[in-house]
Amino acid sequence: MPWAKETKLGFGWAAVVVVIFIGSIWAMVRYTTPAPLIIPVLAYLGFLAWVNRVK
Amino acid sequence: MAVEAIDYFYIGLRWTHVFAGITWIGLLYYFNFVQVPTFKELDASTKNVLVPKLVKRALFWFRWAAVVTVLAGWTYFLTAWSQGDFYDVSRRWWAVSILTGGFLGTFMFLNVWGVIWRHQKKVIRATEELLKGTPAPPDMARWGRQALIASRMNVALSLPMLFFMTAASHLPLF
Repeated sequence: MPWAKETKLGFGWAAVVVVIFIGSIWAMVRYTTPAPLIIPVLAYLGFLAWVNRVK
Repeated sequence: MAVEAIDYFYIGLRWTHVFAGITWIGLLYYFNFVQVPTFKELDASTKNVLVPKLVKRALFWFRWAAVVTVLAGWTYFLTAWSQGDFYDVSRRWWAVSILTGGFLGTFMFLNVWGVIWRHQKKVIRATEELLKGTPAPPDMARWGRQALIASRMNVALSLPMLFFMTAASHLPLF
């Protein structure tokens, strides 16, 4: 059975989010600054804006 | 080694975090692996009865278990951080791992309240009105799709989230 469109979209977003989160949190701990945390916050806001426009 | 008061505090938070987390993620898997495929096989009148009864009740436990999980987890982390563990270089892997798991879990929590519940409560309300004879709103299918994308995303995020949560204390990488 082919994967539903919602499953592909959900999994695709999850892959992007995981990469962003690992990178920014590693940078935060490595350089002991909370500045990279802005990237996960923007990622969430981006997803929220996108999902609310889904028809 | 003497057990101190803070150890009881830690184990209480850890137990609460795991217990609520099992409830939350268990219901997430129930929705995705059991309910969604089952509902596809049901006729509309059966679904209209189940949504205000079964789905509403399951979503209650789902969203509040998410709140308890996240609150207990962050309280635990911030308490440990305040003890100075975070600045210890030998604990760097622990910090990266637990924070990655924690932030992924927080993202999932925001999806629960900001997308899944926000749209599902509209679906439940519309279904209740439908049973009283009010026609279904045109956006009802769209609300369901938006909630499903976030729910599928949370299933996918739960895998790395659980990996980093457990790896923090059980996989000493560096």
